[in-house]
Amino acid sequence: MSDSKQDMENRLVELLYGELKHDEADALRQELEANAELKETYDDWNHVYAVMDELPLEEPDPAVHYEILRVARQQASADKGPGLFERFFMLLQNPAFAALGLFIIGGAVFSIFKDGLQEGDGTVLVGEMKPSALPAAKPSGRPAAKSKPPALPAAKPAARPAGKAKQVGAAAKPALQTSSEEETKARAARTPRPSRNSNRLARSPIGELDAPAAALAANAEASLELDTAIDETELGQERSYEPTKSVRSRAKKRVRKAKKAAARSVPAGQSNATAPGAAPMTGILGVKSPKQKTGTRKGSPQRFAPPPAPSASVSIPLEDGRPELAPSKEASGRGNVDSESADGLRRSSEPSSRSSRGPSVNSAKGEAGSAVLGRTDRGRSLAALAASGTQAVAGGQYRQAITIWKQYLDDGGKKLSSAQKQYAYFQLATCHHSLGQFSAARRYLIRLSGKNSPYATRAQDMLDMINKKRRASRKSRTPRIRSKKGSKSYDSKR
Amino acid sequence: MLSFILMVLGDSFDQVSDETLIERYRDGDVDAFETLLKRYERKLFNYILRYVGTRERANDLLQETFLKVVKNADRYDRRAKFKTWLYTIARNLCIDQLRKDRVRSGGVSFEQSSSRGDGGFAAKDRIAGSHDDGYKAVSSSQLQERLIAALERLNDKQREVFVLRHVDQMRFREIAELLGTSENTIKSRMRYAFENLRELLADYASEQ
Repeated sequence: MSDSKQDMENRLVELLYGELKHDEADALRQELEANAELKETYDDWNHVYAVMDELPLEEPDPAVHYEILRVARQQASADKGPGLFERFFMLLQNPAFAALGLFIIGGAVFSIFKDGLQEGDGTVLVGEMKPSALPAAKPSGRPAAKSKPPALPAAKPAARPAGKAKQVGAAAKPALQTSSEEETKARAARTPRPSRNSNRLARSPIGELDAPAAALAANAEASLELDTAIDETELGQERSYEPTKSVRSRAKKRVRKAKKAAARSVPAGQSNATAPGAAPMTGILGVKSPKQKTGTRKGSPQRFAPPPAPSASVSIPLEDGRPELAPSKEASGRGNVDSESADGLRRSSEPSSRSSRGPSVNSAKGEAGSAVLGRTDRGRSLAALAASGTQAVAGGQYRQAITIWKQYLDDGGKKLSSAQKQYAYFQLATCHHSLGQFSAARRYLIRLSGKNSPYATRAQDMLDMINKKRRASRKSRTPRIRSKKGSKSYDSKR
Repeated sequence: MLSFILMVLGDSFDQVSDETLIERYRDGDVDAFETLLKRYERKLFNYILRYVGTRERANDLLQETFLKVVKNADRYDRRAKFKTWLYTIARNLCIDQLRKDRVRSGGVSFEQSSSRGDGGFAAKDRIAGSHDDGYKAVSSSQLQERLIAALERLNDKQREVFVLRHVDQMRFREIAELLGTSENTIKSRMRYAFENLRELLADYASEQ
């Protein structure tokens, strides 16, 4: 069959199905009249065309139709986005918006208290304060019960003129300190001056962190576990861990205040110094050896029993004879915050505020640990570990952060709440992931992905990413072999 | 906006393009999808039926095709024609089905087992003979049975092109796009299909 005949027959096919343009169809018809063979072919095909029109068109099963429609409806309803109400709640779950909401509420509460103070008789509030505190007693709007410890502002000048450091524990409870100013100065002289190099976390204890670090520490602590309240009056007994809203809100306030204090912290020229009454600093990483940890657990006679006051620490018995925990806690790794920020960070041990503001669960944990660990009581260490771990992650010191967070989990054990554990797992996963240790990261992410935690989504994302990488590496190891026969290219040369 | 005007005016979906309908379905309009379903289910069913040979399988594959459309509606790109997309899904499913059959039947290639090598005829004995439980029974007249038999005896490619053009009324250009080949190739296949059908139905023509 010549090419021209093929072309002609192709055009006949087009003519049959009416795909030729009008003028082309007329031209072809004229040609057909002149070519008898072509005309015969066309007639035959026309006959086949007419006969094939009789080909029955089958109907599909009606059940299929309805099944398809049912699935289509389901899919359409599933694809619809969340409603306005659902979106609002989704928005609330966003930590940023939640923080904003808390900020607004906090501001409103603050303004209410402020208004109340201005309208009321302010002399009552002022009268409750010591004279030394008066200059520093800003009209903060706090009720008298929640006001700063009276001597706190007075301790601040004592710490700063030393020109060395600001110690959280130093300014924390000067009113309760029994040591004289000379003793304090001597102690300050013994305290090693903290280094301020970039590798601070590796060398320096948590207590040497600067003010932003303290804010970070407070933030970490607040984010970890502030929903447990322990009544300090029940020291030595099993305590109830009932979450209270007031504890949360107070914690948030403290965090905010600490951040503010960090912002207006000591000028750069001022270095750290041990404040009066401050105990010597103890490093987080250096103090707790695995041996000590084991000993701590075995050695703690009662889970929440108050620890015997370590000889090195400043232990001040309370009125009822129980040992005071706060001084050692104040010496914890909250950082070198000035007294104002320290006030925001610490758990006050004053009897007046003790009843209303119990220490965190960490301090209770610390009681058991401190029996063996000496100055570094466990509660303090947990908070400090969390803070330093957070900062290490933020600073990109992942290996160090892994060590810290693992220690945190070891020390915390069963005492850690699920939120605390999840936070630690997430930090560990982040570190391992950043170091390219995907298997290790995966182990922690798996623990988080299925849970109803704020990290679940991010954990799942990271997990997906890791799984994708694993699949990709597997594929690269075993290349897929596809036979040529098996390909879907249905067309081949006729 | 257009869809809103159409909705306000109470116009039916008959004049709306496939692409608009699938986009409307993507926005949650199930009626738009129903219109698409009604528009194509019969043609597509016949296409699949001529491909796989039995009503039961054709029903399954039809359902599977539209379910794929439902699930992948979000991925549909308006630049492609919906009709081509739909038929491509169906065709791939048919090919997969035939491949599974081939594996089950002992790994003999479909072309090898069915080809008679007599000038392009493909004896569809395996499909039409053993699986003709469905649509042959439905066909009442002798003529229709003969037409179906003749169609089944065509080469796969010729039959596919013939069904797409004659039954589903797709244009040659659309068929070429669907099958990923040139328009001339499609016309040639159609030409061969006509030649073979003419021979197969010659005795019928003489009876007439």
